[in-house]
Amino acid sequence: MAFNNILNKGTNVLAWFDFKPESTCVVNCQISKGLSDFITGKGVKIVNTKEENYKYAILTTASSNVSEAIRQYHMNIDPDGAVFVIAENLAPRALEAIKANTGLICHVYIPYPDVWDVVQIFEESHMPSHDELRDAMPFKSASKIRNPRLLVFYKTEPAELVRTVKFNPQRGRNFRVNTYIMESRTGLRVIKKAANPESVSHLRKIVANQEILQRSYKSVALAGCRSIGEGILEFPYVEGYSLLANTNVASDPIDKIKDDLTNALNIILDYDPRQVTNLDCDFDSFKVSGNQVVCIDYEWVTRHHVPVAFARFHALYSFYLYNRHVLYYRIRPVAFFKMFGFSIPLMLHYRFKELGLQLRIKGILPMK
Amino acid sequence: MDKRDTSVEFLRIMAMIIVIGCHVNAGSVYFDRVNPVGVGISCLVADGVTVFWMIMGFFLFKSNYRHVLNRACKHVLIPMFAYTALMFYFGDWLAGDTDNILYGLTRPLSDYQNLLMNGLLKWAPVVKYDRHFWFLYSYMIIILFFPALNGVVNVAKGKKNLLIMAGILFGIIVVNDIGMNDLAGFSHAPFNGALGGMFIVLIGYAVYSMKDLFEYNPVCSLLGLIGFFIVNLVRCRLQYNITLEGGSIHLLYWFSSFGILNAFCLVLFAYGIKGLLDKKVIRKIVLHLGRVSMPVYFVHMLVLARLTNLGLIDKITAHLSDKYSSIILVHLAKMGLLFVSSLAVVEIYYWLKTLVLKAVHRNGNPGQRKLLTNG
Repeated sequence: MAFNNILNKGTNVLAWFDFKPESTCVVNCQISKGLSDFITGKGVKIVNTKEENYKYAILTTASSNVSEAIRQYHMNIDPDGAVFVIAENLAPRALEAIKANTGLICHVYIPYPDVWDVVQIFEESHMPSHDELRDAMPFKSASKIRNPRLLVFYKTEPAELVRTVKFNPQRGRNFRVNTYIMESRTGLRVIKKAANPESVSHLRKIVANQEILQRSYKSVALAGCRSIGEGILEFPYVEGYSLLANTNVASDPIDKIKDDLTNALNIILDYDPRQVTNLDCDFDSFKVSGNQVVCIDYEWVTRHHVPVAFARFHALYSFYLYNRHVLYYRIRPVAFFKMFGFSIPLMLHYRFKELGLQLRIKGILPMK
Repeated sequence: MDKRDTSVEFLRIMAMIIVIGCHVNAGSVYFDRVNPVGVGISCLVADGVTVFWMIMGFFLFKSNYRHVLNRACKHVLIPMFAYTALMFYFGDWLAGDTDNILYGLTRPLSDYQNLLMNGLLKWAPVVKYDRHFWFLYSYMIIILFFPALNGVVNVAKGKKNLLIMAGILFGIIVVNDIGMNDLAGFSHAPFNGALGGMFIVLIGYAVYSMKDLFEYNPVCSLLGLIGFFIVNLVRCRLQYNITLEGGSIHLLYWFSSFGILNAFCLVLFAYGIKGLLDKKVIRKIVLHLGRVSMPVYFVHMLVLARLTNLGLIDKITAHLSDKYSSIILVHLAKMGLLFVSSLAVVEIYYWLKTLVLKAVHRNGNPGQRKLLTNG
């Protein structure tokens, strides 16, 4: 059963879709209890194929004439419904053939890194290059990428297209948030949705963080968020470039990398540490937009005393890990951190704190 | 006169300090490096619990089951639950995690469910600042199994038999170490912890029955001290190599054979200097600190959280790291700060308790009040 993998494990493959409650769905394949619970949990009733009208249909590419099956189901769905076709181990040419044969509006979504623990889903035309993906998730082996695909057939082009969705299954349940980049005629926006009822309070904290950080940051602007529903936040999509866009970790001299990082750290840590500590101050959480630096992500903010030196360590630690496949051969981590004034006892202490922070985010230790 | 054994009280104090040292330890691995000094510190502060188990074995078999149960309920179970309740409702506020004193009182139902299903029913500590109570949970299991342990002790009567028993138990632990703890699977889980604890309690009983051999013997004391450092040196060397290869850190736990050897060395040390400990002033200090060792054990994790939230741990670490760059010094400073602060909290608690009791006593007993006034 080629599709068992997706259907049994990969509820995330469909978890991003905004199923309308009190609607119906036809499932023309064996699905796991997990996926069935997930769909019904969204308020969707699973009906059998004899029903004439339904909003959604889920099928796989197992049947002999997939294109014909898709067309059949597509005819019966509501105008704002969708047919999901889950495909695995299908050659790109076969995929194109299905799209061409049906002649319907179709968007292809690609789960990454694989169907077992989906971290991100990309709409086909916004899939980053292989190298970019490897850079973005250095811990995930790029070779793990199989070719699972989710084809979504619509009756009419959706008013707003989901470009990418980022999940965080590695976090504790209280902190799981799905981040969407949505594209419509009016432009792009970022939506953060609570992945489960327990994480709604985490989103409320993000709104509170925004208020505190706005008061504390001196020269950094915040990509302001607003609540647009229970457990849903809307952020503007900030066009711009990274603070370290001019830094090439592979070829720049180490001194230049150090200077660039120091300058960037001075910008991102430019808040009043007596009021707040922004532990989300990875370099990726900031963008240069126009002539202003904008903080685009501020999930992990604490009012507890956390030394600025630890926030500095945390930012550099994330940077090193992110680039370690290049940096490790140029400068070893101990030398790298010594360059920024961290002695060995301090490295041990902050690394231990960093471990504690990660365990708290993962929900293994209780969050303060 | 207080009949308590100064050596045992001294052992309690050492065990408490070791436990505190363990809980402020930042480990030994940073990035791709393993710091040998860090491994050494981890070895030195690994065996507080082993000493506690061993002390438990000294006296456990002197009483009957009912007495043991009564004592455990009065001195361990009730204080443990009372402290857990305090942490559940006020732990966040006391630790400085929240400014809202009512935070704990407005907990959602799921927290109570967690307390019942994952805490009470699984017999494990789940409240924020009582995680170190796994030891007490295991302790209570050992107490429940007292008749079985007592049976073992009664069968192995006589020094020779006890030595054989201790040797066999130690041998099992050595084999368990060689097999990377796969044989016995000791851990901090209540029953797995209690199983390891039972082994050490029985060894402790055997050691105590032979205390005449090393009591008041300064040479034994010196041997114990030297032995403690040699055992840790060997352990450090082994663990360093294992960590370099990315292996398990089970040798750093209380249930390892090294832990038992270390606890034995500390027993030798404490009984060897008994003559010194029995001197009037030292005796007074040791007995007092021994008495407060349990409350200090109770509160030290909460105090650690408070000190961290106040930024003191970070400040002291940053200051000493910048100035001396010594892992040992930083560790000692953190240990010292936590020990003194926890001790201060406990002393203040007892002082307040005495004041309150006096006040209650005065108000409740007019005759006593008159007596006090006249006095």
